[in-house]
This record gives sequence, structure tokens and C-alpha cells, in this order.
Amino acid sequence: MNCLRQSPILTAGIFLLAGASFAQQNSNAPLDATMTQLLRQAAAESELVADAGFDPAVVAVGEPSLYRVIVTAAPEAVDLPEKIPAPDELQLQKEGVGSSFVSKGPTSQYRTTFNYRVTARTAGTFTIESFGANVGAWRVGVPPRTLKVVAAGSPEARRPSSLRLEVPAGDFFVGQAIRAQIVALDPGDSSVLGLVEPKALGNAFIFDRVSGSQRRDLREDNGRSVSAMVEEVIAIPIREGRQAFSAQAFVELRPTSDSQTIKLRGYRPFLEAAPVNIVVRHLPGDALPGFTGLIGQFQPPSPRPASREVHAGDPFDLPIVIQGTGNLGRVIPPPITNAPGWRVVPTSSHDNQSLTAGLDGSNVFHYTLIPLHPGMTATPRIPFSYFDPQQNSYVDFTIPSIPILVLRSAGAGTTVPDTNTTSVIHNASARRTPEGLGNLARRPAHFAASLVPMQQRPAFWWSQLLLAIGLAGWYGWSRRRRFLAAHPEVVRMARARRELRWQDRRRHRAAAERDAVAYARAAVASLRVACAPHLSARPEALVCDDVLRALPPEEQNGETGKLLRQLFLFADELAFKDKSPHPETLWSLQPALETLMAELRRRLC
Amino acid sequence: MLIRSAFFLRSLALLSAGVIWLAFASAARGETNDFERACSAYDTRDFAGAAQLFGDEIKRAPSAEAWRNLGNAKWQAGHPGPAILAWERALWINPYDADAAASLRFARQSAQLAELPLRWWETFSTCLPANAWAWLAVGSLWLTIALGFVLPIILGRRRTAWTQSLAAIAFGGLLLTITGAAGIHTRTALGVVWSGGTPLLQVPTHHAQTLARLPAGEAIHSRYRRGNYFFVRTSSAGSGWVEETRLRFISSPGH
Repeated sequence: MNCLRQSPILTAGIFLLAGASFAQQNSNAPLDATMTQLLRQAAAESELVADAGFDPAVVAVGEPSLYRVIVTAAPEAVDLPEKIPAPDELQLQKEGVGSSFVSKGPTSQYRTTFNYRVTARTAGTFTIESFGANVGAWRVGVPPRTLKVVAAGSPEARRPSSLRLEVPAGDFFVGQAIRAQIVALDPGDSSVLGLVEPKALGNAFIFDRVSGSQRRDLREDNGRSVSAMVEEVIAIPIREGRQAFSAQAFVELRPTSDSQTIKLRGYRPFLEAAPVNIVVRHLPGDALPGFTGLIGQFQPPSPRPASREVHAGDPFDLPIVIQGTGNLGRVIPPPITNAPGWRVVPTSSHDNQSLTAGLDGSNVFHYTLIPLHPGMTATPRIPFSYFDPQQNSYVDFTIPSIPILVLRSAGAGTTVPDTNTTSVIHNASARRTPEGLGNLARRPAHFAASLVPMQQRPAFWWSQLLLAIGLAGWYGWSRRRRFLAAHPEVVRMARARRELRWQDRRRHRAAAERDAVAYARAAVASLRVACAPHLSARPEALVCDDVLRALPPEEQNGETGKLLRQLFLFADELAFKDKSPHPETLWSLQPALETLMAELRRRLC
Repeated sequence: MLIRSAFFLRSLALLSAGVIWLAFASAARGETNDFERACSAYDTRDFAGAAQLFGDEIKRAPSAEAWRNLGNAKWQAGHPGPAILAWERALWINPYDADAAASLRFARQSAQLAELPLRWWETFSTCLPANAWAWLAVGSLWLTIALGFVLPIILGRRRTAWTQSLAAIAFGGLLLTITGAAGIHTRTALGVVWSGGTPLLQVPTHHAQTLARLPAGEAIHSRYRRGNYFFVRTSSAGSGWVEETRLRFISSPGH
């Protein structure tokens, strides 16, 4: 911890190291120069140790031994010499590289193991001398190690611990779960205590570890029965054809006093298994309905609902238990495509975490079904099928209907009183449908020409405008009426103007026809009508003096007065004397009379 | 002669009235028969046929009952979107239709659809049929005008306590009914998702990212429109754009 506190570069480097290592494992992209430099610096600043050892340190001629070099740094930071300084009698072949974190109190230490397969041609003792390895900017020394090679069959010779991948014989199908076993064979001294971080490798597979499956078992090795640590792994091929996969693991070994073995604390040898090839085939094309990728051997599905009654509209949980051997953990529940009267909530495979074993056991799918109508008596039938690789055929696995009772939903039922149920059912006009919906109306009653609200229809606003205009007109007429009532002279004037226009037409017609009698009568009537409003009198009651009184005094005694007297005299002679006056007298008065009439008309306005 | 002419005119008027009454009666009987035929189809579980007949009935004489029955038929035929829309329209015309309300409640519960929360004036507007508010508003307005303006000013009647009180009440009613009419106005933006799996889009384009898939019958509130897309608010999936053809508005004509 103090080391971490004192060296922030080291802390950052460890994190970068971890991240970069992860990235390296998941991608083959090369690290850039800066990252490599940081990793090297971080690795160098930590506790740098290098060690080496033979496994086993005593081997028979021709038998392989593993020479391991371990450096407490990330693999990216370590540069081993291309050629290890080994004697000519030893043949070294480079194998895999593995790395791991080892907990060292509060901190962790990165360890990288380089494996070399060593074979000796002759018996003897051979030493690989000390050599240096570059770790970033630092150099660390790898100690010398000695391999003793004895004659074949010598009891002193030991076999190396080895890793093996065991796969069942036969061909497999895409998607089929294959139970593989990673086996660490004991060299014969029961020194293998366990497998650490066993891992299956292969690009054409998905691997699932089976937790808790590690056990000690016996295996045959070159005709001998040896002890072995076995861990199971599920391999699911995703690509057809001839596919290879392998395994690797760190092996927990019993501590030994052998001076030629690696003495690093917490050291675990890194082992690799030889690749295994299998043939993967496509599934046949004639899949049955409801096939979602389930492959194996299974017992008929058993629906196990918790209850047999449900209200319409309420969710109904339908658990389906599937037991058998196969890819139970990765199977997708079949969709329910045809379920009239039911609403199906999609089932997610992520909900099914009840798998009791990697390959053998049971899994539970939970379908959530919502009945839409009361009175339904069974759940929908769910088409389902699986593929049996042993029979090389699909097997119908349909989930049968389960008898249940769908009750009326509480919300819809409240509208019908229970005490009146019988009468309601027998009353055709108010019958509640058995599906729980509202009553069917038997006769239309509430009509609406349009769904558009009234205030959004133009006709509505036009009608209101019309009403407003009518009201305004009424108001205006009312005001006018009151005004005229208060001012009767206005009425008299208007009436006089109207009457005068009529008399004007009579007079003009008479003048045009040269009818002196008619002209004289119309002229007198015109004068009476024009003067009556000023005297507040009826026109027919006026005589010449009255008309003269309506004129200004200067006109009464002037030419106008004279004209009026002559005209009235002419009219009186027409009315009361047998002898008609001479019409020329009247026509001589006409221009002055028309001028006077125009003046009187003006006074009326 | 005069007497004979009057007798002739009276007879002609009676005859015309009879002919008109017969025409109306036969038309009404025809409509009733159509409605009953649709009900009979429903009773015999011919839901698709019943839906068709109720749809024809709505085209001829739209009524709350026809909309309600259409909703039932559509629901039974497995079309939740049109069914919910039809019940909403039945309640739009007649908010006291308990059966339509119960069906709507049942359908929403069954289909796990949430009701869109209404604002307070929209909730207030559900007290009366959609058109009643407008008529009440203009009735209150004209009553206020009549009592406060026409009677004293045009007709010259003296203002009395009761006319003044009545005018005040009418004015208060006007304010209330304007609130209800405003609620009706904003409720015209309410609609229903017509078909299931309707994509709720992030932007109003065909290739936009889908935010959610809306189930049939989901209630929406339209905010505004751009081209063929409406920006809508939903109760369960937030806001987004929905294509015009995927929606139906409660107050829009057509079904």
C-alpha cells in the first residue's frame, strides 16, 4: 500500500496494465507505443522477479519436460531472448504464454508464464544457464535450472503434469450443448491439488462454466490409471464444419522441496491442452412448430399454475417446468402466437434463472397470460418442440391447455347489481354480454350529427353572428323610435318630404301635359304640404294666409307673397267659379313657383 | 266559393302533413330495423358483421348507442384500438353512458393500457356532452344580454331585483360553461392509437429512431403537427412523433 501511495505512476500503471491485458485478451490489436511504455514502466517499478523451473526436474530420455520462465510483469512488458541459452542436448520448443494476477496482501501481482517443451536426446544433467530478460527499461535475471535426464524406465524419472480436454465422441449439431471436461493429470505423486481459472478456447463455440463441477477422478494415461482433477465445461458450437477447441488452466500444486522448481510465492504452473477437433452439423430443416433451439432429451413439459381461477383482465402466471438433458440454460421460451381471448406478455429468457445444472436438470418458463373475457375455461395450447440429437429428429413438445376458470373482472361487474342478475339476464333490452363488456344498446337514443364540437363548427358562429346583428338592429330601431317619439317635428318633416315628392311628381306630370287645372291643384297641395310641418298643422287645413305665415315676413309681402296669392286665387276660381281662369296666367307663374318649391323643400331637410 | 276554397286548402295541408309523417315514420322504422339487425348479428356472435352494420348505422344516423355497440363488436372481433376509440366517442356524445364507461374500463384493464390523465378543466368538461357546453355558453350569454341589456334598454322595462339576480346567475353560468367549453376544445386533441406496434418516433421522419412501440388503444394527446406526423404525449411511453395514419382522434369525423 505504501508503495502505491508513494508511486502514483505505479498505481496508474497497474490499472492500465489490467485494462490493457483485458483488451489484449479480447482483441488482437497491438498496443500503441505510449501504452507499452507505460506498462513497461509500471511493471518495472513493481517488485520485479524472474524465475524458472523444469516440470518435472527428472525425466526419462525422450520424455518431455516443461521449462517455465515466470516473470512478475505483464506479458506485453516482458522481452525474453529469442534463443534460450540451453545446451545442445536439449531441444526447446516454445509453447503458450499465460498470465494471471496473484494477490499479495493488499496488492496484486501480475505474473506471466512462458512455457517451453523440452526433450533430451541423451541421459545426463543439463543446465540452462542464467540469462537476462528485459522488462520495460529494466533487466531482470532468470536463474539457472538443471534438468536431469535418466534412462528410460528408470524409477527416478517422473512424468510432467499435463492438461487434457475430453469431449464425447460423435458428431454434434449447431446449438447443442456439449459436456467437455478439462482434466489435469497428476504426474503420479498426487501433487495436483486443483485447477485454477480453467478456460476453454475456440472461436466457433460459446462456453459455459459449470460451477462446482471440479472434482478428483481417475483417468487412463498410457495404460496407467492416474489421479486427475476434472472440471466440466459446456461448449455450444455456433458454426458448422470441423471445429477445434482447446483448454488451458493454472494448476495448484503441492509445495515441493525440489530446488529446480519455481519458488515464487503463490506460483501455479500454467498448462495447456492439445486442441480437439469435432464435427458440427446443421440442424435438419424440417423443424416442428415452436422450435426455439432446445436440443437434447427431455421429459414432457408440465405446466404448474399456482391457481386455477383468475379474473378477466388480471395477469395469470403459467410456469412451465422442463426437465431433461440439453441446452436448458440458453433456450428461448416458445412464443404464443395464436391465443384468441388472451393477451400474452412476452416472456424473456432472462427471467429463467432456475436452471439447476449446466446440462442436466430443470428450467422453468413463466408465461404471463391475461384473459380478456370471463367464462373462458382453458389456457391456450403452446406449440413447442425440441431436437433430439440421438434420434436425429425433432420431437413434438407442445404444452397442453390447462383447465382454468376465468371469472368476471371486478371493475366491469360492479355495474350490474348481484341481486338483480336473473332479471337482467332475461331482459333482452338490457342484457349484459357474457364477455364482461357493457350492455349492448338496443335502440339509439342520443344522436349527434357530428363529433366535431359545436364551437368548432362555422355554422355555430355564423348563427351567433346573425343573432348579434339582429340584436344590434333591434337596438338601433328602438333608439330611433324613442328619438322620433321625443321629436315629432322630425316625423312631420319626413312625412312632408315624402308627400312633397309625390306632389312634385303630380305637378310635373300636369305641367308636361299642360293641364292647368291639375297643375294648380298640385301646386297648392305642394305648398300646403311643405308649410304644414312649420305650423304643426294638417296640410289640407291650411289656407293661403296660413301658408304665408309659414314664410319669413319679408317674403310674405314681397314677390313670393304675391305669387302665392295669385296661385291660391287661381285655385279658388277653379274650385268655386263656373268660369275657368285663363291658363296662361298660371303658366306664367310656373318658373317662380318651382323656385319657391325648391326653397321650401330645402327648408324641410 | 270562398268556403269551398278554404276546405280545399285545409284538406291539402292535412294530406301533406300525413305524407311527411309517413315518410319520417318509415325512415325511422328502417333505421330501427338496421340497428336491430346489427344487434342480432352481435347476438349470433357475428362480430365482424355486426361491426360493419353498426358502422353503416353510424354513417346514417350517428348516435352514442351505435358507437358503443360498434366498440363492443370491434372488441369481440379482436380490434382493441377501434373498440376503445368507439367507446370514447360514445362517451363524447353521452358522458352518462355507464355501459360504455364500463367497457372502456374493462378494455383498458385487460389490455394493460393506462388512461391519459386529464387536466382539471378537461375533467370538468366530461360532466356534460360535448355540444352541451357550447349551447349552454351561448344560452347564458344571450340570457345575460337579454336581462341586462334588452329588457331595460331596448324594451325600456325597469330593472328589478329578480332580473338583476337572474342576469348575475346567467353571467356566472357563462363563466362556468366557458371553462367547460375550453375543456372540450383541448380534449379535441385526444386520440387513440389505431393499430398495435405503432412506432413512437424521435423525429417526424420515416426513418427516425423508434423510441417505443405503442399498443393499439393507447391514449395520446396531440400537441402539434408537422407534415404527416403528430407530436403526441402518451401515458406510458413519454412523448414522440406518430404517423398520422396510425392515430384517430376522438372528435374527428370518420371511423
